[in-house]
Amino acid sequence: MIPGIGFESQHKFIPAHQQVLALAELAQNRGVHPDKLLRGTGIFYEDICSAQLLINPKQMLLVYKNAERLIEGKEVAFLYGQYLLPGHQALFSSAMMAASNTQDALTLLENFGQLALPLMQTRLRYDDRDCFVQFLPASGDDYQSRFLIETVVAALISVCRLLGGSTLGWRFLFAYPTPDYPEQYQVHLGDHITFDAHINGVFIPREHLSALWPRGATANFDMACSACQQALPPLAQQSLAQQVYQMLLVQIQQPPGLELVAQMLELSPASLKRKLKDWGCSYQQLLDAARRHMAIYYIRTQGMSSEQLAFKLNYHDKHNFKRSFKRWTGLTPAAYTSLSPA
Amino acid sequence: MNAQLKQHAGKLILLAIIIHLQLLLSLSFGETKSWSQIDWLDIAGEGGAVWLCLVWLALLVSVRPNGPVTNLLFGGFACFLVASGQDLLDEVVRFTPEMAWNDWAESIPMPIGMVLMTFGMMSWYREQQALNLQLQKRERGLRDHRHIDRVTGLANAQYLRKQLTEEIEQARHEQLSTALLMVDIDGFRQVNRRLGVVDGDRLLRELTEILLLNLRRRDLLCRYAGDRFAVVLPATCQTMATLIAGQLEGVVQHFAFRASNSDQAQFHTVSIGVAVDGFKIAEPGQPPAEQLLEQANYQLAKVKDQRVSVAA
Repeated sequence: MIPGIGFESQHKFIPAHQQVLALAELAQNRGVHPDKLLRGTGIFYEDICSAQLLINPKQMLLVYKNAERLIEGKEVAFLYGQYLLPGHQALFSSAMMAASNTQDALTLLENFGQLALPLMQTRLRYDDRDCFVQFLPASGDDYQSRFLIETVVAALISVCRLLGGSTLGWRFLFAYPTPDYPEQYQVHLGDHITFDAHINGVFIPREHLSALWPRGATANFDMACSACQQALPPLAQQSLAQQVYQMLLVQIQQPPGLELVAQMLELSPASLKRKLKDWGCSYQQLLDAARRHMAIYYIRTQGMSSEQLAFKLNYHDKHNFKRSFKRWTGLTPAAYTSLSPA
Repeated sequence: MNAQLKQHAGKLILLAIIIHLQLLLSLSFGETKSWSQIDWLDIAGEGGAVWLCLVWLALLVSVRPNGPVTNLLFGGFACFLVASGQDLLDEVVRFTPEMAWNDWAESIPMPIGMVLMTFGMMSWYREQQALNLQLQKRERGLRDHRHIDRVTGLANAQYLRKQLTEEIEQARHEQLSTALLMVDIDGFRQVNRRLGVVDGDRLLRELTEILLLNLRRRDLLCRYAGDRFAVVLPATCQTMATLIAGQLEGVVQHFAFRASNSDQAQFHTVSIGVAVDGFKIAEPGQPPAEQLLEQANYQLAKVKDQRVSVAA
């Protein structure tokens, strides 16, 4: 892995036993042989059990695809998610177990989440009422990552309940349309669920963030966090797609062009394009995603009008912005607002 | 799959011996035809019959448990196989008219097979009637294997929606009210964490049996999702539904569950949301089944909320 550049889909850095073993067990319990689950990945079950094997994101995603296809009953992602947090990475899980409130847990997830959930980046944003926890998959694609998103939200809600937090007022947003098993979401996550939101994340009421958890231990938490810091090379904790997304997001008013991004990453534009294509995305898609997420966030939290958003995202006028918004979501900003209240 | 085949091992070995004997006898006593004498159209037709008999046999042994019904059906198909096999051999081996056993092998097994099949089908019918009685509270009138939950063997939420829609429509026509219960196990997440999914699944299965035993014959139990069950109570009023919900809560409370690694009994409680399709929920636009589901889930959330605040 080149320092400074986010990981690619071929980089082997995911400890297979931490991520795949639980899923293999679940599959077996549901009558699917582990070899079938691993079909096409080139991984052998025996190697996973040896606890040494590192696999790459591509293999991991293929395992997820197999799981989704082979295991009957649509709850497997939600059950599997319960295994992922506090997780099996020693430093990360000891920090998580020492978290003294939801805020600690979220901060930990934002900074070191890759140790437990390697393919998902967590991003926190605050407004007067809520904290918005946004999930961005390593591929940068909100719509095609349903299984991964399901596992991560299940993991988060399960660890918060385990450690004593309330998850009653949480409001979930999912980018993709309603799946044919909405009841799984309802039972595992709660009653406030919106599909077709064109962003993945959850609004958590601020008063939940600081409610104390019984097992919290601040000193232990801080110690484990700094140990995590040393365990994780700071720049390698996101995929290349997530990294480019982030570069675009922080300068969303004047986003750098493809050439400039490539230059900042010390890559040629052609190889940046190729590496992004390997993740199944492109510069333009990531730029659209960054703008879309921004717009949706401000619509939902502040009820911003098209004019304000056009200004915020540096569009010439609101008509241009409206046209873009329609291209991203298939809806006008007004229709989006009326369809799904925050 | 192996275990499935093993229970039919005796029958399969016997059949293999008979077929081999048949082949050996035919080839050693008959006179093999030359290529030009063979009628390929007949080979294709009669070979097809043999092939189909083999497919039937394979399907039979791969799904049916051992027992009298299976044995009868197996015997029937085996006779068909012998008869059509001899018919096929006829095409490649010439028999002299003195060898009458060739004709026997062709014509005698067929009627025997027919008789066996007839008896087999009759006892299958009786077996199915007995099974239907067992399945009554799991499926109401409609069987669709795509909607069966693998863990509990109950129908899933899709089936529930279908049944609920039909039930409400009919009940409204007859001016009856339909009740729906949502049964949710308290703290099921902890069970999965503490004991693992294997025991969690077993708890779900055992609770399924308990709930089924305590329902009326016309009720339908489904697995909604996760640890939530749904019960459709046709022609039931609010009072009766609440009474049944109380009974279910009671029996679950007294059910001693034992984890696979310990003899210590563990007790669980359920929260139940009750909703009745009546005049109260009649929002136009939304299908009544969805409204009833929503209402039951809402009532369940309310019950859960109260429990949490009482505990805290």
